[in-house]
Amino acid sequence: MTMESDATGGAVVNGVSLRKQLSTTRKLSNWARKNKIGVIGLFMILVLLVMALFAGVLSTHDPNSLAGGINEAPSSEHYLGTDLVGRDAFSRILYGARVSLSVGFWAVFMGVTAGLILGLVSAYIGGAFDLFVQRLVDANIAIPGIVLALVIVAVLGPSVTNVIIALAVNYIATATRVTRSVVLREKQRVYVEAARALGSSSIRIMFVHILPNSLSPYLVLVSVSIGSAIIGEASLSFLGAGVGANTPSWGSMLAIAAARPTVVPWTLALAPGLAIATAVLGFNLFADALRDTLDPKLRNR
Amino acid sequence: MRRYIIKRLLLMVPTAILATLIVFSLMKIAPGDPVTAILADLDVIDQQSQELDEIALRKLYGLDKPMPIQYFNWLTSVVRLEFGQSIWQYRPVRDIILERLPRTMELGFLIVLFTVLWAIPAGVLSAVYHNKGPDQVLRVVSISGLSIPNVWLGTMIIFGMSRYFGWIPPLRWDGLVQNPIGTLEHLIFPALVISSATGASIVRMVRSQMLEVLREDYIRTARAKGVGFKVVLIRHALRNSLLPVLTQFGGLMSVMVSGVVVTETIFGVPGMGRAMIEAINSRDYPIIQGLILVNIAVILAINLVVDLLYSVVDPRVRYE
Repeated sequence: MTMESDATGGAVVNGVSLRKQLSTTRKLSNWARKNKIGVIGLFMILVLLVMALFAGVLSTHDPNSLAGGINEAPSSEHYLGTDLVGRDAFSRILYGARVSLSVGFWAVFMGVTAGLILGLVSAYIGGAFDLFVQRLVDANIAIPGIVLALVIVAVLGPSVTNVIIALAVNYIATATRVTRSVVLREKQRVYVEAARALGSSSIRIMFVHILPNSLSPYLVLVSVSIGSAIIGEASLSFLGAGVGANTPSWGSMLAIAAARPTVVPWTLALAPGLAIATAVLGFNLFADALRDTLDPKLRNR
Repeated sequence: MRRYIIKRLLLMVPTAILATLIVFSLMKIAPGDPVTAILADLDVIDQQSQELDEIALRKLYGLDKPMPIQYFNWLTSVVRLEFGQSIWQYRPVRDIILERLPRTMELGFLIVLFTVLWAIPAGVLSAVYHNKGPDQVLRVVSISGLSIPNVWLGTMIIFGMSRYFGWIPPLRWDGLVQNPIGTLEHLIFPALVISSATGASIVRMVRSQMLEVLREDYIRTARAKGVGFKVVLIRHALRNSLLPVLTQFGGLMSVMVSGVVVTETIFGVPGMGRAMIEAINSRDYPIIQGLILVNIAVILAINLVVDLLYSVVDPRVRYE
């Protein structure tokens, strides 16, 4: 092993500079030190991820089976009591994490990605197509998100996939707008002109040259939106137009508590809401930190 | 100014038409139209008379025409201010809107009132005590407001109130003018729940705007001239911080609508939100279309009003 110094004083082992490797881990730990609140958010997300991934191991009962008496108070047998028909609330919370996180993630991922592509193509092509897309975006924004989602679930029928589709539609418009504005700016840059002069096709310029430069607002939008998508799923399930009666969901657990407040155990009103709030808070805190890092200009939006 | 308003109003039309077209097409994709629902309800056993009924019903509701004609017919009935005919309630959708809209408007008025009442003072306080005790407390409050969903807050309130105080939402509805106390009892919790969410983002906005404005030279000048701190705060700083906050109010419409749908369901307010849920559950498509159209119109109108208010709050803003 040979050790020496490179030009800027970084250690070089066997001819490979350590600077790059070190700087990656150091960047991460610096980020963590500067964004303590973001790390707390990340921790909350991880706890919920563990709940969702290991729901099968951690749960004490089958979430859909009638595991005990009805409306039982919390006990060592049922940690969070049982609901109207005798299903174990603790197990339903764990399986509910699966539904909440997957709906939140997939709805936002699909919606924002669709918006990214639409905004990219529309800004690049311009002209009549761009004008049409803009009107479509205006129209989409004018319809309140929850109303559109309710109608879509009513049309398609309640299921996890349909809730994901219904919520995803609401993220397309904003993502299209944001991407469009970024691409309109990037389009004027010299590197695009250079690529065109070299004979690159429009598709190559769009997806190989411009797209990577529009990615940081994309990441910010995804992380900012997940919290609201989780609330969206909970609200839809609460209103009975959600993931369906047989899929455990935090929102439908709350619906039971709100409909029969005097009979169900108090844990049924507290636990699902606490779970939703933890998820939303976790994603919001993490997203805030990520936004400050990736795109300081977007702050306060 | 007048030309600007007319231009904006004209621009609203294509947006509204496109939005209704989206909703209209969605209804057409739905499996089973109102006619099949009515037939199932009629319980006709004889195959042949069922087919005759179906043809007659389709003709009655105009569902035998091609889709563009159906859409055009619906638009005509909107222009005639009928908004189509309800399928189950045997009356024009207009009547349902006229019955439900005032209740939700009253709720909306209370939401805006509560939001302004708690969020703007809180934001000012946060900025004045920047990074000190009150600011830290208010920051936690506003982050909780953003993270605690309306479904949970509403559930907790109805849970606690009915369990420990024996309170249930009133069943009668009189209106804010006719019976202020009774209506307030009905609306106070929904309004509180929703304004906790809308207020949270307003607090953050007011705080950051105030912090920025308080650093400006003219604030120091005013103070140096001997103007009292409170006067500078309210007359100089707050007034100049409100413009971006106003923009935020337009963007909060979606938060308010989803809050209204959820809390009207929890607290049994017979407004637009509940009407929407009822119409969706009974698949009364003309009502759904009518309610969404009104919703879109209200949102577009509020955005216009917010834009026009800019020039009131900030006289430097002029419209061409």
